[in-house]
Amino acid sequence: MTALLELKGVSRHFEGLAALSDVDMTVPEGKIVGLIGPNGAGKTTLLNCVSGLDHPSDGGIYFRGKAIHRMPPYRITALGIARTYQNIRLFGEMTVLENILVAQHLSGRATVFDSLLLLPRHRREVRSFHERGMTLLERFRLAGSAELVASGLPYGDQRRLEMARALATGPQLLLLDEPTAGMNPVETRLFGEQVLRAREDGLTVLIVEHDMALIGQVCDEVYVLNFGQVIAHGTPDEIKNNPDVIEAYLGEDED
Amino acid sequence: MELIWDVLRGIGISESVFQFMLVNAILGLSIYVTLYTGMFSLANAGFMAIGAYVGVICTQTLGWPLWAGLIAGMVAAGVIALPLGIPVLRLKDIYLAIATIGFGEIVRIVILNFDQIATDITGDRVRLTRGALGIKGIPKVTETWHLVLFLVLAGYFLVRLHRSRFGRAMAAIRQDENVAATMGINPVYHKTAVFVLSAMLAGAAGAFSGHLTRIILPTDFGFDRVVDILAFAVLGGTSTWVGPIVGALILTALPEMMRFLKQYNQIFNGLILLTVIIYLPGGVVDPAGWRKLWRRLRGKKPPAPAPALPGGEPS
Repeated sequence: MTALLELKGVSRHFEGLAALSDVDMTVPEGKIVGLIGPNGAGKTTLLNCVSGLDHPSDGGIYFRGKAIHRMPPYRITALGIARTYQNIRLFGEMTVLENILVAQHLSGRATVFDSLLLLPRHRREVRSFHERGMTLLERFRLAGSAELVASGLPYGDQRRLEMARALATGPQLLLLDEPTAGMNPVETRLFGEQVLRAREDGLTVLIVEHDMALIGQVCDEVYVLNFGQVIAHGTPDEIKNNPDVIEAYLGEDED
Repeated sequence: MELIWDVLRGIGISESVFQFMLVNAILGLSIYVTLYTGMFSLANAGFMAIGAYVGVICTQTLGWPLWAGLIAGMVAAGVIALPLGIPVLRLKDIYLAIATIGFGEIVRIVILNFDQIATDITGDRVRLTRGALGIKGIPKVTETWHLVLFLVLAGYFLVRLHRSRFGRAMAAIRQDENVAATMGINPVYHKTAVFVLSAMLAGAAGAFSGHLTRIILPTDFGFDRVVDILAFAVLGGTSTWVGPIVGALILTALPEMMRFLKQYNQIFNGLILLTVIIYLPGGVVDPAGWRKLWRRLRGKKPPAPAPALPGGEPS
């Protein structure tokens, strides 16, 4: 099993506060890897570093062996990494479908001049973007809302649209940042099935999650982060019974 | 056609006033494209000055026809916008505004002193921008139909642009630049390209206006002009590209139509602007804003926003 994503000694310091320190992590191709940890453990910082919105202070991040830790986000997306956001960040003024169209930006070939003169290349692209967009929306049960403004959607729909939008960029690795936060158990379960389906379609997934039921449902392996350090790594069952993990979550009063 | 002019003259709008309305509409488009991409840039007056001076020097000193001067003015503004944009567009919001106002002042001062500096360097007497005296005796060669044609072409360009991949990227960058970047959009490339486009539009407005006013002075393109252009966008709104055009038309026509107010004219202009900002914060070309205002006037409260708490209702 080859490593699709590899973190080697990744640290991220904010003015002396170590959000991540010396994190080693391997995400094998075709697997769903969970990343859990108490609030403030550095999970989102890690995703930000992988997606290029932040850069490690030290260490390296490799995608298919290629160093990506100094790349801007749009180049990382072009390599095949897509993400969702914990605090839903849809393009709120756009419609649901437009959100998906924007995400297909990289697969577009038509230039401004093609669009200006309505050349065949532009027309073909409009059609194919639209078809692919609607297929994705149907898969996430959002096709009926395609023309609605994204910010007006119910919460659970917005969460699903985030994942649909990430998939529209055509990724090989999908980063999900607490995708089921605020969903009820039924919605969470259905969402889990979508994540499993993404794996069947050949994607690799790195998922940050608090919901242990979902972790158990979908993850092949789990990393546990606490105070910016990896404190455990194993299958979901191993993790649930690991005393260090239990202590990290329950042992000390964090709040 | 004659009838239209008669009507316009009847409300105080002569053909030359109408031409300035159209020039200002181009300036409205110039600030619109940057605002639409989320850039609070106020460099338009500076680029207008470049377009005006380059355009006029091309037609007067070099003897080129107007269309060649127009293209030269646009290209000059665009060429200067490119190296300026790359560092300056790293700034956001009010910081970008301040930096671009600074650019406008630099342009004005360079034009003011250009001949002196060039003379000092080359040793020959240079007479191009003619310092504080400005360039005088420019023939009035800009015709109304030139401006109308330019605006129609620019409008078509913007409509098509909005429906292109590039246009969607512009909107995405405005709404959330970081997320746009993780969708594979290169924000620096798109912002710089839009900045150049905005500069070229302002340059065109400058070249046209230079051939309307018979004289151009460095002081024509100072901070007052920056505020005027921003007011077009505020009054018209930026929810569509029509907004700043309408804003420019109204704000240019109003002082002419309200001549009888004499010295109170400027106060009236300010009142109109304030009224719009308070009652139609999205500008006069914003259907949602008018609907809200209509409900308010009829004494109905706007519908309470639906609670959007996480985990509120299962969908």
